[in-house]
Amino acid sequence: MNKNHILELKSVSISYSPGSYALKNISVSIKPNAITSIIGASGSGKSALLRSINRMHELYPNIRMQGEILLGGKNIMEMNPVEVRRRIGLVFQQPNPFPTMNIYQNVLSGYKLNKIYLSKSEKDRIVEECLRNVSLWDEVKNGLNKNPLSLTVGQQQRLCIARTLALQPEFLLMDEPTSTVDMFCTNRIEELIYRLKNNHTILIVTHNLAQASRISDYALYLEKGELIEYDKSNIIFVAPNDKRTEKYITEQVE
Amino acid sequence: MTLFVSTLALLFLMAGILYLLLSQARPAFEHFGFFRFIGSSEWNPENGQYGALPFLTGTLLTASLALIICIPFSLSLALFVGDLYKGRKIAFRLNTFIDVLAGTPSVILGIWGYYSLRPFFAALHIGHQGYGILPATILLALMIVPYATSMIITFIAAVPTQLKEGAYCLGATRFEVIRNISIPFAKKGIMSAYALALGRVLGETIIVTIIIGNSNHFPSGINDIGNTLASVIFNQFETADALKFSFLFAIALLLFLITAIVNLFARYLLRRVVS
Amino acid sequence: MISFQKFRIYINKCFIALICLFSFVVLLPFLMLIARLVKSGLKYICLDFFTQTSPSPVDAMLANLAGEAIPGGILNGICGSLYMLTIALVLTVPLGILTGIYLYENRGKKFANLIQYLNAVCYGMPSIIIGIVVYVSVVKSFHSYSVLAGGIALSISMLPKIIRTTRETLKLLPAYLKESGLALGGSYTGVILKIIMPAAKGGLLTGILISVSRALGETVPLIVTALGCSMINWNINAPASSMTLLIWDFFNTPNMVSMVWATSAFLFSIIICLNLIAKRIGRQWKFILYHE
Repeated sequence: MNKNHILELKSVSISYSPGSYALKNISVSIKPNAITSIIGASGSGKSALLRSINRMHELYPNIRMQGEILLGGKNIMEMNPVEVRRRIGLVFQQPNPFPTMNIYQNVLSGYKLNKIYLSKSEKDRIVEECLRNVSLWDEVKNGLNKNPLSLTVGQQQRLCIARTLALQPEFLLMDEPTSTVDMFCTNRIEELIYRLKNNHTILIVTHNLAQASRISDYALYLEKGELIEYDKSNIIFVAPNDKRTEKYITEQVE
Repeated sequence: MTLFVSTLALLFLMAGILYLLLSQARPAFEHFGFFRFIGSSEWNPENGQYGALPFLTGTLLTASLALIICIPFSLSLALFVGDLYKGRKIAFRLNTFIDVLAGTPSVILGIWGYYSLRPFFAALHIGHQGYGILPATILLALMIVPYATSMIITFIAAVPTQLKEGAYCLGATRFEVIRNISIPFAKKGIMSAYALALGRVLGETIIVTIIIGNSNHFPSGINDIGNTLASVIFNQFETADALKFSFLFAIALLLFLITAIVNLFARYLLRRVVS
Repeated sequence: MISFQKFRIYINKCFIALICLFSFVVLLPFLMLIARLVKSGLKYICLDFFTQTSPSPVDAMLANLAGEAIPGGILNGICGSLYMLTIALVLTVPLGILTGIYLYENRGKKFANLIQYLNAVCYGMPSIIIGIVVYVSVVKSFHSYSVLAGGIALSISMLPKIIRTTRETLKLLPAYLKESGLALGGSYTGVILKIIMPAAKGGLLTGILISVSRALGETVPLIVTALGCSMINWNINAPASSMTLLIWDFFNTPNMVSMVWATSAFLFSIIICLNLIAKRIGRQWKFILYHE
């Protein structure tokens, strides 16, 4: 069961324009059912790494990728992109609820887009379960037919997480999910991520090293597109093996 | 202030136009009656009997059919430029090409339709020897495609990328993203663009005159020849006696009201988009 | 039985193929139109085309019988178009820009909203209605078809577009322009004239050029107001021709088919150039505005 959930990158390189590389030759095997945080300076390729895993780069013809990404042993490029994106969920930095649907429909939008038909009782159950999961149920249960833009930024972000979780992906990619929300909301989202790790493999990009050391089991340090170090969090944040990692961490703390 | 005074120009212009239309049309209404005017198909210049029904039917038929034909093509072209190939060079060049086409004088399109398309229609038995309501409808549809497409491209290209990416990440195909996210987002803009295109095709005169056959009788079907409100005014204007002249103005008033309502509706939709 | 997921991919592929097909199909007639214009029209354009007035039907018939090219050109049309266009520009540009400024400055107010709705109605008014209205007011009053009437008809057609473009252009200007001008103690008129207008000139010019191209393509209102004339006429109260009028005249005269295509090709080229120049100016202006 665990074998299917192993995410592996083999010599992955991404370039946005000929000659300039966002990622250079990344090879790593992400530990399943754990939280891995991806840290590094701006422009070091963290978002590029995340977006390459769920094949978002294909939408932009000028982006080229080399190397292989394997999901449970199978190359994702040989799989159906739609299936890849359903098994791997992505939460963006800025909340982006669909404004033409109400809250109820937003949570179920994954099912609607994938044309999976559910009965009314199943739909209600999924909506309640997902919203409870992100601690949003009590706040919106009386207004499920409202426009999501009427929620606060923090609530919108939790809605987007709920929407992604509704499809029960095995992998969860998160691109700085708490950078635009307040501290209270950040706490809730961190608690949620911690609860999810039993059944999901989570990759979270973050600038906040305190957050990374709090919640992640493993950490991956990127510098200028290259993978410098990937190890357990209590090694990376306390006594990293590579000097560059150490330099980055100490600079952030100061 | 000077600014305020300059706006009075438009105000008086529109008031003047409305006044002229009403006053010139009044004799016809007095003679004929408003409902008989709209509901009757008689055309007997000797007896002074004029009914506007054939022309009203012609206008509504050609305009609505032209819009229906135009919609799938303009929407496809707009999606091609604004979504499928958005941001790429080909989209940019096509966009310029479409904008230039939207500025084609309708007389040139009409002339080409006459010389190049009419033999083609005649060979396919569309209309009577290539003249008729259906040929006119096809030419009108061609005329509004670039016009509508260039407006719709702006709305489709304005759908925020992050919204679309959010949908792709949930595992949607391109078709599903367009159908469930892009189109609903751009819906009001698209509808207002088609309303404006409808307004334009309702008032089109020269293309219709060249190819519709200019018959003053009620058409028996879309393959028959007929006439529209705009075209009949143009045809009969030179040779009109006093009563016919007034009748033509009555038709003009009717056309003015129809186009005004459609354009105001489009403007109303556009307001909702902006806010 | 294919799986549902494979079916979705299939539908997606069909949809994209359909979009590409429809796009191609709808562009085809326009390519054919341009090809026909080039093929049938360009060969008749020579120096005479620009320096001589339109041929009479008799000359055309004789030339056709003899198998020669039809003598004559469209000089009267070109002059007439330019003359009426100048009248229209003089009437509409100042009025249009001032009204546009008023609408922008007073947006939200009831009167401004009313004017905007009137503008929308005027913009969409069928050109035949413009024609007969000008006929009844100007032609009947002066007892003759005239350049003046044609110019007025063109200006009614151009005015709403200029008003709308002025308003849109002003909306694109950054707010700080006016504010910093006023903060420096400038008078309202001074700020408008010296700061806002120069900043907006690219956008305004684009709007004017597009209105001009629309006016050059107007046929119907001119037929009932300016009538047409086979000689060059500089009298503002006498009928005159325009390029579009000539196309219509040639179309309705036997034996003049080559002139129809030649004039159409020429007019179309001018309009293409105007539109391309307008777009270029618009793009450059926007670039300057946002990259300052």
